[in-house]
Amino acid sequence: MNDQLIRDLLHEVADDIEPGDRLDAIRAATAPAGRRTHRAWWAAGGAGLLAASVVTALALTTGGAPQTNGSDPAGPASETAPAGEPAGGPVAVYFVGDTAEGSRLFREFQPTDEPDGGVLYAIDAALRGDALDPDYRSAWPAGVRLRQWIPKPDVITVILDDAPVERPAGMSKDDAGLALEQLVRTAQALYGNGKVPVDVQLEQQVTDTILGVATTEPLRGAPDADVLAPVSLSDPSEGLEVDNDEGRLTVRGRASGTDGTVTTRVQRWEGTFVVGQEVDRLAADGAGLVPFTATFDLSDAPAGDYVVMSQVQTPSGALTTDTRRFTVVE
Amino acid sequence: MAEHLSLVGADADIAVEQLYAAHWRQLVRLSALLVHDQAAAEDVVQDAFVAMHGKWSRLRDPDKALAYLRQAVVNRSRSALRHRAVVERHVRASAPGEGTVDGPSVGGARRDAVRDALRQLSERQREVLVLQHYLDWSEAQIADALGISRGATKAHAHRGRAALRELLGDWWEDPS
Repeated sequence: MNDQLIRDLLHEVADDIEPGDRLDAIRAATAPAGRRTHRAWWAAGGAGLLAASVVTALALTTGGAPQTNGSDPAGPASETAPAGEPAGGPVAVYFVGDTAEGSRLFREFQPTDEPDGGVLYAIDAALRGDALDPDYRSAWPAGVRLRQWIPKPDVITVILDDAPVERPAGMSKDDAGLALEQLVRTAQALYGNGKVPVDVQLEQQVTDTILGVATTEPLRGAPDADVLAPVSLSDPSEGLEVDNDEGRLTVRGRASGTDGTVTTRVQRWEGTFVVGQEVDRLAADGAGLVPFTATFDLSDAPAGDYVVMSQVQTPSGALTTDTRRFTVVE
Repeated sequence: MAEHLSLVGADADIAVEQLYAAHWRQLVRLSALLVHDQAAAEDVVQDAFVAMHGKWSRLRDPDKALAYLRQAVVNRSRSALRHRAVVERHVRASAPGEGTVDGPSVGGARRDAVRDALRQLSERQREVLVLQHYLDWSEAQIADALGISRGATKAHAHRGRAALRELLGDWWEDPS
């Protein structure tokens, strides 16, 4: 009798509720990142973030825990693989993405277990724009492929199939230059021996230009500041699943900020819940991109989709960001 | 995103759609009994669905997914309630005697009395009673879901019923 009464009362109270429809919100929150753009809301939240980062920076200078990671030996010491990854695992691929200064190259680590060390895979990924991060793309026209790769200590020769000699209609000069830079930097990273010149050639064809860019001499690559995005994330990889039992997320990347800091934030993909934010001082030598590391406690983070955003200020005073989406699972 | 992920994603998308169609309403009602607030309940269940989608590659079965959803809703309702309790204490402090108002009451006086009574139960008592009498779970299922012993489940249920009887007084004798 009592049990039945409680059952009736609970149903009377609960069944009175007619829930609103949240299916679209759920669909949006579970959709692959490529279906949405998150640059826009980052831009909208930019002012708030800037204010928040100032507060954090003040906290740091008034006796917070030391968080200067610019020279942290735990950061990625190698140009070819994130720290902690076995050599020959992930390969670095350079893609084009948007920054406040226009298109720039971002470095993305991709897993591969190809027997050749991932050369074919990585260069084709760069040419085709096969990035894990949906914000990245290739500057190359469709259909260009790697024919052959001949690495030597003094020059890396890369021979392509079906690459246009002249700059295609509609492609800007900057994009043509970035396309070649994508190839040069991906090849240099694969070889892992620093800035070895890259001789780009076409299969069965003698040419002085590719995409209208002079290739008679091997390419050495433009200065980093001219072509690389001022902030680029190495870890986590796009779409990573993190078990919140593990408790921590380590973010690694490279950055160069005019104020000597990089601000990294982890927040929910949908909504505004912020897990944490960290400001890291970058090594003071000012010479290009330097590694940084930020760690976040995820033990209280509910399962769901999150985004990591690392942001720096560029010389023009604008903010540039690299982002990664990841998922916390229980 | 990489192409090879899309199949898994599509699979999880379908699971979400089907489970949503079948269980969204009941799960929100379940959460509302625990958090006393419809919008908060919708948030809780929405998050649970998103989490379930992320876990689909391991669940891979609608029954397991539903069990996961229910568990997630109970756990998240508890978190949401604790978070809100802090806010409500401030409200009560500034407006003594008024309590909190979630919106215009659409039900009769008895429904209001039951809602009020539920709020006054302890967290565990409320969870046990709701799972037992709204979802018709067995003591073993409840013990498992809440991570407590069956003896504790029985004790919470007993005390919860006694508290309800006292709080509801007149309504208890005459539910008509």
